[in-house]
Amino acid sequence: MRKLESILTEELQVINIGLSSFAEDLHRQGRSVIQVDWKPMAGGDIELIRIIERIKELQRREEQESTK
Amino acid sequence: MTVRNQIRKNVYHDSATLMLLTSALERSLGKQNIAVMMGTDMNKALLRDSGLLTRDGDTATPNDLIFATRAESEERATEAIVLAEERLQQQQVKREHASYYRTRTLSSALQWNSKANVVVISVPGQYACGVAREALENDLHVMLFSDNVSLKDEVELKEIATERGVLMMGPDCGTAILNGVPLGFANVVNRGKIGIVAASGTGLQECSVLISRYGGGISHAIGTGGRDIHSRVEGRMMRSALQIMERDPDTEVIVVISKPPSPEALVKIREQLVQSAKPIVACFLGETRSPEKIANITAVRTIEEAARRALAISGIHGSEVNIMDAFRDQIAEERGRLLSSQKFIRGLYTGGTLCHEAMLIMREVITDIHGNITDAHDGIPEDTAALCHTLIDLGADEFTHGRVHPMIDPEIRNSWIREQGSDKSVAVILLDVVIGYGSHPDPAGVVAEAICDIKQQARYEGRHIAVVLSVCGTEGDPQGYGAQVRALHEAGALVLPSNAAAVRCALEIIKPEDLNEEA
Repeated sequence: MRKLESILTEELQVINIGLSSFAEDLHRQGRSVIQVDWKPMAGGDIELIRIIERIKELQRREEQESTK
Repeated sequence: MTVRNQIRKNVYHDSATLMLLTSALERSLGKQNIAVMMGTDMNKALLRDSGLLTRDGDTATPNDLIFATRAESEERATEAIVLAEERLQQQQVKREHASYYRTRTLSSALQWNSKANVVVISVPGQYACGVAREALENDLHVMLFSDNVSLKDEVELKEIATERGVLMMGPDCGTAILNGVPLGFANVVNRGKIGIVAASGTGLQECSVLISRYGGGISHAIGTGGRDIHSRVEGRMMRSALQIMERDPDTEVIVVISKPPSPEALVKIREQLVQSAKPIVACFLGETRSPEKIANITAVRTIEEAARRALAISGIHGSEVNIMDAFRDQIAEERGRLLSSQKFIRGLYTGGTLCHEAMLIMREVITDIHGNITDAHDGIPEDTAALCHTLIDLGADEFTHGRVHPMIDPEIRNSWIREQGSDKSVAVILLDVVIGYGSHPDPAGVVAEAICDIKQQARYEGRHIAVVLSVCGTEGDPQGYGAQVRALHEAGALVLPSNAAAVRCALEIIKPEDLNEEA
C-alpha cells in the first residue's frame, strides 16, 4: 500500500496506456514516460476479457499472499 | 457511386488517431465519404448509419481496422483507401521513431521502470475498467481519461484505490497537475500555494490559468471525474484529494470546483471540508441551496470568482480590478454597429464547464436561454435560427459520438459558427478557445477562419456581428497565449481575459431592452 500523499512529493513517472499524444506531451516536457501500445485482448470479446482479467486478479492475489 | 470497405486484420490504432485521420481525410475527400475505424460494434453501427458499411466490413472484429469509402468509381475508391493508408503509415513511422520506451502491456512497462507511480489510461470505455483495476492492484495512481465506464465499476475502482492508498482520478478525467507536471489536457501554470480539486475538466483549467495569470500559482490540481459527486460515488476521490491537499505543506489554500454534489456526496464532502485547517474556496457551479456558514469555507458562484478569492486569501491582491473598464470603448463601439434587429447571443463552446459558467452568468439577467446543458430551457432549438439566446456545449456526448472532442479538433465548431453567424438576428457569437497540452496545436488559427468568414459575410450584407471570446491558456503552453490572442484580434474578435468576463462583455453588447426579448 502506498502513502496517498506520496504522489505529491515523488518524481512523477508515468505509464501511458492508449492515446500516444499524452505520452508525446510528457516526453516533450522531459518527463519520464513509457507508452503502452494497447490493443484489446481476446479479439475484443468482452466476456472472454472479463474471465481472463478475473484469472489474472486471482493469480496476483495468490502471489501477494505467498509473499506475505 | 460505389462503397468499398477494406479490412486490415489485427491492426490496432487508438480511436483519437483514427478520428483525427478521418476528419483530415474528409477535408480532401468530402464529408461522409471516408472513415477509418476499428471494427467495434459501435463503429460498425456508425458506418451502417452513414451508408458506409459493406458485407466485408461487417465481418471485422474490434481488433481489425476498417477503411471505408464512398466514391464515384472503383478507381476513386482505391485512390481514397491508398491515401488513407499512406497518411496512417506516416503517423506510425513518426511514432515508431519516438525516443521513449514503448511496450505492449502494463506488466512489461513495470519491468522496464519499477518506479513508475502514475498510469494514464485512455482505452475505449468498455475495456477501461479492467485496465484501471490492474493498475490499481499494482499500487499505481490512475488517471482514467476514458468515459463510458459504468457507475458500478467507478465505485468499485474507487474502493480499490482507497484500500490501496492511491488516487483514482476519473473515469472521464481529462486533466490534472501533479507536482508541477500537467497530465492530459492541462496548462503550463506557475507553481504556488493554491491547490485545486475539481470534478470538472475545463473548470480546473480555467481556474489554474486565472490564478497563474493574476500572479499566483498552483501547488497541485487533482481531477476526480465529473461523476465523483454522484450519490453512489459519494465524492470518494474528492475526499481523498482533499486529504492529500490538507497534508501537503506546499498547499495553503484549497479551491474545490464541481457541479452541485448530490445530497449523499455533499454530506461526506462537508465532513472532510469542516475538518480542514486550511482556507477553502468552494465553487459548486449552479448551486441553489443557500451556503452553510462554515468558518474556513468561502462559497463562490463562478470559476473566475474562485480564482480571485483564492488569490486574495493567499495574499495576492490586484485581481479584483474591474477588467471590464478596459473594454468599455470597444463594447460601446460593437453595440453601436449593430442593427436594431440583432438581439441575440449564440454561445458555441468546446469546454463544458465554461459553457455552464456562461449559463450561470447569463441567467442573472436573461430568463430564457436555450441549449444542451443542465438548466437550459428546452434544449437546442430545432430551427437553429430560432429567435432566442442559445448556449451549446459542442463537447457534449451527442456531438462526440464517433468524433473527437472539439478541443482536439475545433474544425467541427466552425460550421456552427458559420451557420449561427449568418443568422441576421444574432448580435454576438460567444466562444471559448482552450489551449494547453492535449488541445489542438492551433485552435485560434482554426476558429479565426470561421470568424473572418462571418465578419466578411456580415459586411457584404450591410450588418456587423460581434465575436467575443476568451483564451484559456498561458504563455508557457505549447500554442503560446500571446500568439493565439493576436490571431484572434486580427480576425476581429474581442478577446477578454476570462470566460466570465467574455460572457459579461457579450451581455453588455446586447441592448438592455433586448436581453429578455420574447421570441
